Amino acid sequence: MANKSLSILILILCLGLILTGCPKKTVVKDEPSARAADDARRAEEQKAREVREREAKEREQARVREEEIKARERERASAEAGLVPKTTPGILGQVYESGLLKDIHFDFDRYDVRPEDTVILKENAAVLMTKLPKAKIQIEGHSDERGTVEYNLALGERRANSAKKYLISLGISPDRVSTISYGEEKPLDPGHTEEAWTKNRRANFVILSK
Amino acid sequence: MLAGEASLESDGLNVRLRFHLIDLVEKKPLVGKQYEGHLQSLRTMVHRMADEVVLQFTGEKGVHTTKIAYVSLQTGNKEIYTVDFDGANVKQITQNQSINLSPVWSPDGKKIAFTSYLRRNPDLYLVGMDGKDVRRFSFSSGLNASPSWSPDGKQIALMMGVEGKSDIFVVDANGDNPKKLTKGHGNEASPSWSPDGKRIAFVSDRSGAPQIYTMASDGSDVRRLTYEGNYNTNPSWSPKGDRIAFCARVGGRFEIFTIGKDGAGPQRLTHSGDNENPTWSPDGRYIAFSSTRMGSSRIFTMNANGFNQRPLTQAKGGESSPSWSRRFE
Repeated sequence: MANKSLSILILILCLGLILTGCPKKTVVKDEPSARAADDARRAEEQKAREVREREAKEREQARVREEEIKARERERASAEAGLVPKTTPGILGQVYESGLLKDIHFDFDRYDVRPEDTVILKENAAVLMTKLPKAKIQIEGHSDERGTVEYNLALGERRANSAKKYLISLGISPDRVSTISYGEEKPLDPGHTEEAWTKNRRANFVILSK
Repeated sequence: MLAGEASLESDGLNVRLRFHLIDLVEKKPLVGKQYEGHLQSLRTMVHRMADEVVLQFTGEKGVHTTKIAYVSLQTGNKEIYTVDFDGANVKQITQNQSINLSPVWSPDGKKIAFTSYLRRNPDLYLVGMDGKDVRRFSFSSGLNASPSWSPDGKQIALMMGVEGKSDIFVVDANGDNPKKLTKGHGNEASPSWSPDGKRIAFVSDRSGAPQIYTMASDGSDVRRLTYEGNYNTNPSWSPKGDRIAFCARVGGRFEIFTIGKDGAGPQRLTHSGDNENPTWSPDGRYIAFSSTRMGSSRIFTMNANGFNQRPLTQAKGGESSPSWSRRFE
């Protein structure tokens, strides 16, 4: 009878050991390093992902920049292709005209740049900076036919210089811009009406060299 | 009371023109002269004779040997021409197909100064009165325009735009030594030297609108001359020194006025069309100017008091910017 009790006791002890014993302790000892390895692995994967993403972004940006450069080059080529050469008998040299550089106009007897024309000058400046970045231009100042030839020469001189000053204030280099006054000598519209006179009081932009 | 007689003999291609004048009251001869030469110079002989007659009548020679330089559009471009005082003998001086402006005779009559856009800039040129020997002599960047010779022929006043606006400068007759005369922020134009060489009349809009001023020939002592109207330009100083002719905008049209050299006694001379650019004959008796009263712009002459206004040439129009020469004797 004592043997039976002893056997049961040993069994209970063994069960106890099995339930509470060393194997558990062994599991507890392995957890931190497994977790650390996992974390490390995850961190590495994260880093690799980030590198991949960054590289992809950089490739994308480079691609976009290249597209922009190509687009600019296309614009420049198109702007240059759109230059129309113009010679005038009796006046030395050839100039180019571009539909991208627009005229501005002036009020009667005035030579200040009108507020509504600053928009045009800003656009002209943008063209000169991006689409025709090497072009040297000449600003021609004109008056309408009324009044005397000489005073109109003076008015035209001021009008051309007024436009030049504004372009320079927008960042165009002064050695890209020269001026000339034609006074009343080269009207756009030879008529003798208010409409013709308004058209003729202008500064227009020609290209001396590409 | 004077009486006279003229006779003309010819012998083939040579002519002899003789005249004499006698004073009937004092019963004595005043002048008698004889001209001989080729038939081609008959006009010149007659003109010299006429000047002599005028001299006897008035105490000063006439202007029968003078010429007028001007701009004409008859070829389609503004070119420089000369014509005798009576409208005969039109001669084309420039033929460069460019834009040629503001011809002005040198005091010795040998050269004409003018502005041309030949080299894509308004530069000042000189040309011989026969159209030969064209020379560029003022070509700063910007305007070189509206020349006016000093009476001694050594200097030229002009409009120069080298500082970004038009100012009056003086240069040597060969273009050297430019000196700026006008100061301030106005637009300055159209210089005209006084016959004694001491002062220069010019246009300035420093008051807000173009008016006539005079200054000493070194730029000092600036005095305003015109106070009526808001557009007075084109001053031209009479060879007599006492009056200045100019162009005034009146009621939307342009008219020729004269005014005393100190601003007194303005006198209106024209009343129809647009009239610009007055220039005096060397005796101060006549004024040539351009007028659109007959349609397109033509050169007219008139007495200095406004009487006897008539067109100079047979051209239908396109004429402007006259300049009256000295006597060619």
